[in-house]
Amino acid sequence: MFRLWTRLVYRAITRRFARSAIACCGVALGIAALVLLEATMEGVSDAMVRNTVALHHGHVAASWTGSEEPDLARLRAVRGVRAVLRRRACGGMLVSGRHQEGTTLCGVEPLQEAAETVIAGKVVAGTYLRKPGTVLLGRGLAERLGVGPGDSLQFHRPGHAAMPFAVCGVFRTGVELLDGNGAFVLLADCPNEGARQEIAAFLHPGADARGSAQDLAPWLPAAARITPWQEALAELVQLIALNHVAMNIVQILALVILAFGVSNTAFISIGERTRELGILKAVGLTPASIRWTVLGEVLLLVGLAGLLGDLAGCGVTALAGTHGIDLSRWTSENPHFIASGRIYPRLTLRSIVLPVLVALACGLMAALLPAARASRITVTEALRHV
Amino acid sequence: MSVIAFHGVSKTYGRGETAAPALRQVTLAFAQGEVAAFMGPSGSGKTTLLNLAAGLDRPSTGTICLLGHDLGRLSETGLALLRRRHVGVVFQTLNLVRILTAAENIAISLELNGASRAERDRRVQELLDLAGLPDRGAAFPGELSGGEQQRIAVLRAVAHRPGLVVLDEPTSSLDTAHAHVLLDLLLRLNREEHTTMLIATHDDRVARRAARRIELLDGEVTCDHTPDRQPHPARA
Repeated sequence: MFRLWTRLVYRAITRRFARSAIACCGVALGIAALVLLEATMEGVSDAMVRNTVALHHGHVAASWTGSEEPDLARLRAVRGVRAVLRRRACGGMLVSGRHQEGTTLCGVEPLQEAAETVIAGKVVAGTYLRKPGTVLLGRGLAERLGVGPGDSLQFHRPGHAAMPFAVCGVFRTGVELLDGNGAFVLLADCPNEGARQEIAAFLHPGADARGSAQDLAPWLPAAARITPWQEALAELVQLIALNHVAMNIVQILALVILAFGVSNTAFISIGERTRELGILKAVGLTPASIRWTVLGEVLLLVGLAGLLGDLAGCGVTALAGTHGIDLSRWTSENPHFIASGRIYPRLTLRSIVLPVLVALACGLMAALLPAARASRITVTEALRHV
Repeated sequence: MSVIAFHGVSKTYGRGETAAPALRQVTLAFAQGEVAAFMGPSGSGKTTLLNLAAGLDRPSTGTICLLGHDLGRLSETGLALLRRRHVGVVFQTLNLVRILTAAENIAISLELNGASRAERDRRVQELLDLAGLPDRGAAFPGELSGGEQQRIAVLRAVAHRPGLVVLDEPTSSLDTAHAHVLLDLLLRLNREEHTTMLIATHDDRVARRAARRIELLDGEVTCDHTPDRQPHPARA
């Protein structure tokens, strides 16, 4: 019986090749588009995270007070970690002539910093940090202090002698908080006493920031406050969630259209084969067998289309993922694409498996009505069809 | 014991003012191995009677017993299972499942009844040889002539050795030569398998070769004639 059933299902598809091929291609195209959409959504989210953490924060940040120094080599050896930057933050007042602005001086290692963050590439006047005794200012802060490259200013802290700095350059990222308050100096120039020690860890693509934060914790001072980007950048988390919601709505609409297409194909197929189904009933196929024949046909067709669509979707995604898709034209003023507007679609288990499973479920749902109708057709009614 | 028996069977299509009686109080019985031809003009109730006999339709009143089973008491699934085991059906035209080969069409009823592959292959080839179509097993219905298709349909109907085979105008779409070939095949199968055959036909050639001839008019049996006996209106 099972062999007969599989033969009927298989032949129903292969003996009506043109119709089956058109239906299969339609569903496969839909699934390929869903795979690419899902992967693109991941790519957009990745790009937003990559760009935003590259502003300054890093994927995982840790800060503590005191002079305790972590073992950077151990931190860099943690799974998923690509780079660890050492920083120091010290609050005080920048003074230039009659102007003064409260700020936090951030001591960095310029070469490592330039490799991981975008600040070095966003210098709009002067140069990036190179020499001791120099400071790199955000444009807003520089404007409020009335200084530019080559000008001098002083850093004041209560109870400490003023520290002189020369402005080496001015940067502009477009992010108000950074442009209006950013002041970077060499790590060695940043006062240690009373300062907050910081590290910023940058991870390999796809690494889990929360997991890495847990893995880094044992190698950091006990008092360190460890913050994965998801906790520090709540706005970005919401934006990514919004991106997912929007994309899921598009996917649901695409699947509903796909389900209507499958249902229509199944109805047409049953219409064409009414007499044949009647003959099968006459020779002894039960209503349940007829129902499963129709369902089997749809499931095989959608399964086959799913496989083809998945392969095509993965192929196109792999190609797009290798070269990237340049969206700079639409992202140049967006702070979440500050470093690059190029996105790299990324395949995940969800993006590969979900469209096929959902398409199969939709196909099954879409075929239930035609299958029920086929099982209810009486032989005498069916034989009137030619 | 009769293979199939009709007791006061009536069938009416539609309701109220549109009600159209197709059979009225038919009482008939058929023994094993009997070949009966139903004659009558269009609309006389021949096809309705065969559909009821095969469990493809249900009577409005009366009972039909097939091999001891009251068809009126069976569910759709029950009727399908009874047909699968005990009934063969041949319609006027387009009898075959187009997506299966001739051999696969013949094998359907065997496969549904759980015959092994070897049994099926042997039986199918035996029947194809009997019908003079030994090399046509691999052909799809679209590649067969009308006469060949009807012969394959008959082979499918008898393949699982059912107790009853119903044939609705099996020769109406065939020329004389093909009709003779089909009739020869039917009667040979009847002799060899002892299958009860009920044949609805307009064709006098068919009726003449049947052992029993029943005439219907407006849903009523008007004559039940066995050539070697005197005709009488109804025989139970």
